[in-house]
Amino acid sequence: MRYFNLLGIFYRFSFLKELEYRVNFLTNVVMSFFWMAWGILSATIFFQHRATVGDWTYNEVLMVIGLFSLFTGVIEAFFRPNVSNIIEQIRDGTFDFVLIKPVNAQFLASLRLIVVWRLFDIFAGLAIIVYALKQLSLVPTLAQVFTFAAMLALGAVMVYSLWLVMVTLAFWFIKIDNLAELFGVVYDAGRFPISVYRGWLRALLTFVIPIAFITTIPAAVLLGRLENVDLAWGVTLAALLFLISNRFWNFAIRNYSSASS
Amino acid sequence: MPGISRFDMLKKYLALIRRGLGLILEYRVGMIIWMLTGAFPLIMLAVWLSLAQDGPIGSYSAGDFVSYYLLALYLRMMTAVWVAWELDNDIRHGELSIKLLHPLNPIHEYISFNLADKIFRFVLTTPLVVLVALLVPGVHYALNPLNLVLFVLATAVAWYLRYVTQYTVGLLAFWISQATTLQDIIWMFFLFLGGTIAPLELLPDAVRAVATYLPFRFMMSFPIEIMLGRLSNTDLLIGFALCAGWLALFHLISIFVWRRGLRSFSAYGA
Repeated sequence: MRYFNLLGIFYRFSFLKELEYRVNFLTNVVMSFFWMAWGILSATIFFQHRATVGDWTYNEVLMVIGLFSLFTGVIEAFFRPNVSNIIEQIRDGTFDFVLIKPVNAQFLASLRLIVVWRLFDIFAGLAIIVYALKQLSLVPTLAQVFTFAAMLALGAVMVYSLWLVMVTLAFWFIKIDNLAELFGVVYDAGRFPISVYRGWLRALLTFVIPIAFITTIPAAVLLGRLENVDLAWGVTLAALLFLISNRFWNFAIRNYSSASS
Repeated sequence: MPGISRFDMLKKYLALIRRGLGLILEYRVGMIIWMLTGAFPLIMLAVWLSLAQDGPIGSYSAGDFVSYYLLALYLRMMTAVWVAWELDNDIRHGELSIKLLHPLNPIHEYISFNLADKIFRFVLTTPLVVLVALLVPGVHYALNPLNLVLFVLATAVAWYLRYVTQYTVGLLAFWISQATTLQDIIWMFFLFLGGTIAPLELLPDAVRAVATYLPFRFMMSFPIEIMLGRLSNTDLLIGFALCAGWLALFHLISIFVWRRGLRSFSAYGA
């Protein structure tokens, strides 16, 4: 409970800070909108030549695009600002102040900041999903909606864990910013259903960097294409990734000697 | 630059490039990771390949897509430019003032660092591209001495077009705080009309008709079209004429904006 209160306070401060930069706020929302339109437009190019992409129809792919936008929002709003922050703190030694606070250091370091305007991507992503469902004249059952929400939570845990691993690497390699960019490239693969990719690439995107669980599988839930295997594997993978990233973080903290010492 | 001969200039460039290479080698891991972030065309290749399973799309077979996107990847690496972000940062944080005191127009410092990066990338990626082209079945290019020369020329043009447009946009930071956002919007158009999302031939007819003449094509697609042997002599002539036109136009605009910007920069006395 205490942690929820803390989160509330952190997010309120982030929000107030951003209200100081209104022009920035506005341009960024406009840019989010542009990128979304760009994503949809580029998908239409493929459908000019074929009726399905990876066995998914246009409206089904729209759902994938909606989920892509939703998770872009989650990453950019909740994860990325903290990554940049931690890296800076490790570099100039102020990370010590995080460690001596009477709160779990992982919680404080990885969830403190939020970029509020990026929540726009989340809402817009949901809007695209609803629109696509309408086009498909699908009304998801209550069970499907719950599974969908659970899948989103699992996806968020997976992405959080991956980002935590990247952050933790910063304890050894100071210039880690571009590793986050590299994640962006792999993440771009989530713009399309996973069935598009073949062989080792699909295995990589399903099991190692589980982009499949972020966009394809939640969409499959609402489309009634989900297999129980996916669900079981999703839970296992999320738990596994979270555990590994947490262990890795604790290992790094134990071996951390401050920048000045 | 009055009083500086061509030879002096060349010596200065060589020194600057050597300095740039030193920096790059110092941060080599970061530079390589950064290079890998340009892998986006591979995702597009994967999607097109999955579509091409049931037969060619337009005049593109699966092998053609691999040939196309292998070069697209190479072009993207060899023409990578980030000067808008450098300028935006230097102008807004006042670091440009220091560079202005050097006895050389700052653009030469920016360009020479980019060229050093290109040497680094060339050495690293060219053998890989050649290897992939030889090993992957279905990859084929219209290889002949003339095409090779034209390819190198068109690639140089692509690099300079990207450089000079981004330089101009970066200079807008003299007046606005969102110059890099503008660059992002241009980037969206580039991905569409320059041949990253799809080879231009596969765009809707109306879009393709316009894209053929826009500068975006000459920032990436044109050199690839040459190597795939898809251009007639007339196409080549028109293409290079357009290259020259766009180059001259953007070059002049950049000089104009630079002079105007400098005036307003000194005006508020940073």
